[in-house]
Order: sequence, then C-alpha cells, then structure tokens
Amino acid sequence: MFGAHVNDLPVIWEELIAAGFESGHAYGKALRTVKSCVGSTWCRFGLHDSVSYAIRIEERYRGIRAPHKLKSAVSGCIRECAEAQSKDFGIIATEKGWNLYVCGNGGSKPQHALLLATDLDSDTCIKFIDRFLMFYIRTADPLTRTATWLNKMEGGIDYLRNVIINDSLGMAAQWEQEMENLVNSYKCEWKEAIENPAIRKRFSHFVNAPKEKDPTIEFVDMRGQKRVAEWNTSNQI
Amino acid sequence: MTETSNWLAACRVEDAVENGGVCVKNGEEQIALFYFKRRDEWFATQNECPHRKQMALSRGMIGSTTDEPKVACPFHKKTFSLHTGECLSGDECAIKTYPVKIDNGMVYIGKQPK
Repeated sequence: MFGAHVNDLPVIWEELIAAGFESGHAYGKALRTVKSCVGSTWCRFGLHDSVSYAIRIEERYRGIRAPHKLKSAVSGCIRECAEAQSKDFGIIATEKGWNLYVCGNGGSKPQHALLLATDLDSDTCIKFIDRFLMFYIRTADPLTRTATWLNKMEGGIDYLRNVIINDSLGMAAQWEQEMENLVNSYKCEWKEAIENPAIRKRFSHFVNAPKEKDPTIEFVDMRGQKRVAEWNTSNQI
Repeated sequence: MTETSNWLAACRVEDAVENGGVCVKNGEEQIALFYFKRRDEWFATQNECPHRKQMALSRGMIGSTTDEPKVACPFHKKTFSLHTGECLSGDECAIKTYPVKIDNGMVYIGKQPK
C-alpha cells in the first residue's frame, strides 16, 4: 500500500474485503500469489488449464507460515511463461500431467528448481507438495529459503525425492494430516484485523491520538502521482 | 501524587503493546514507549531514528543481549540501548531516553529526557 498512512490501512482493507479481496500475504513468511501463464484456455500451446490449477494451489496453501516466503508458479507447457523453474515449487504441464520442480529461488544468487517427479495427475502433485512443504516447514532453519535448505541437505535432491515420493522417513501420512489441518483453519488475517478491535487499534500512529496521522510524513509529486519525499541520505544521484 | 507538569499521561497499561512499542504524542514530540512483558519493564525513547530521521522506532523489534535491552529500527535494523540510548550497531548518535512510571493502571512518561 505505497503512500498509505498506517491509519488508512484498516479503512482501505474494509473496502477491499467488502469487495471480495483477501490478503496476499506479501508481508509474510508465507505463500505469495501463485503465478501462471494463460494456459490451455487461450493459448495455442497450452497443454492444460494452468490458471485453474494455480488458483487451486493458491487457495490451498495461502496463509501458511513457513521458515521463509514461498513462491510458486504453474506453466501450461515447456515454454514456461510462468517461470516455474525459479520457484520454491513449480509445476509445468506435460502431455500426460504435471512435472513438479522444487527448491528454486531468485534473489541475489538465483538457482533453478530441480525436477522432483514427472507426469503427475493433479491430486498426486498436490499430495507431494503437501509433503514437501511440511518437510520444509518442520526441518529448515529460520529465514532459510528452499534452495539453501536443499543445498545443505545431505543426499540432496535424491534424498529429498526419496523422502517425498517413497516416504523413506515414514512421515507422509502425518505431514498430509498436518497440512489438511492448516488448510482447514485458514482465515483472512486482514478481515480479522478490521473486525477485531484489539488488532484494529494497532493501526494508528499515536496511541494517545489514534485519529491523527504522522505529521512528519511529506509527499511530493512524481509523474503525476504522490510519493514520499526523499529521506536524508548522502547517496542521492 | 503525580505532578502533571513533570509527567505526561501517555496511555493505559492495556493500550501498550506487549513485547513491542507504541508511539506517544507530546505536543510536537513523538516518544516511543516499549514494554517487556515477562520482565514487566517499561522504556521510553525518542521515536525518530537518527539514521535516516524517520519516525519509526516505536515499530521496531525489541529484545536484549546479555541483559542490555535494546530496540532495532525496522528500516535498517540500527540497534539502540533502551537504558542509555547509545547506538549499538554503528556510529549513529544516541537517542534520547525518558523515565517511565506506572500509577493506577496508567503509564506516565517523564517530560525531560534522562
């Protein structure tokens, strides 16, 4: 919400919630919005409906907190317009189903995801993602992305594949149950924030003057839009 | 018992954030008020971080290392001692600190910096 005062946020979110929006968790160590290509609905190359699958993924894993942020994508063919190979878990359509790639990251040291399994049907792919995410959540150090987690994992991708697909640790059933519990307990936290007075009152600048905004914030014009004035810094170019 | 000329009635105890900070308005000044729940300790400092002059310290993360309570500014993580105001993570100037007392469920902040 660039340019919004903290006092403005509950008011803005009230409107958004009423219009059917929900938090995208951009602030959280959680799943970001899932990217997809246009898919078979409109693209001549699309093998499957990547958009619907991406929505299913997003609605399943939204809000779940993890050691670090999670990014995902679904591409409808090998051309990979959704860039699923740079994601923590990425899905690419094949003739027969979906390929699942894991542990890709962007950032200052990008690393492509590695192939975990091929030609999966939609439900099996989700089952493997459930196990993968719970294994990551349970064992990764805090603030460690999936690429770093895999890089430090003894046995690497082969070990990970064994754990997820062959259930070599015998944890699959427990992880799937735990994921099911997380999925079933989802609530939009911005909806809760605006409806719960104890949370809502934290969105004011002054505890003893809750309707007043921070008078020191100064906006200037840029390309006809408002932006905050430059901070005091000696690095201005 | 509390002379209003020396102490600012900031807020009620329950309005403060447990293990975090809130910002208190005192005329033109902004004061950050911090509450460590387990130790039941209160601290107050200026709200402006000297690093980039942003009114952000009340939204910082508080904690302690070896008994020194400190706050980290949410922007660039500069840390300051909540006892002395000294900058622990660089060569920024120290922040002002203020005395805090609780009376009858109300938090009071001394108007003069320590």
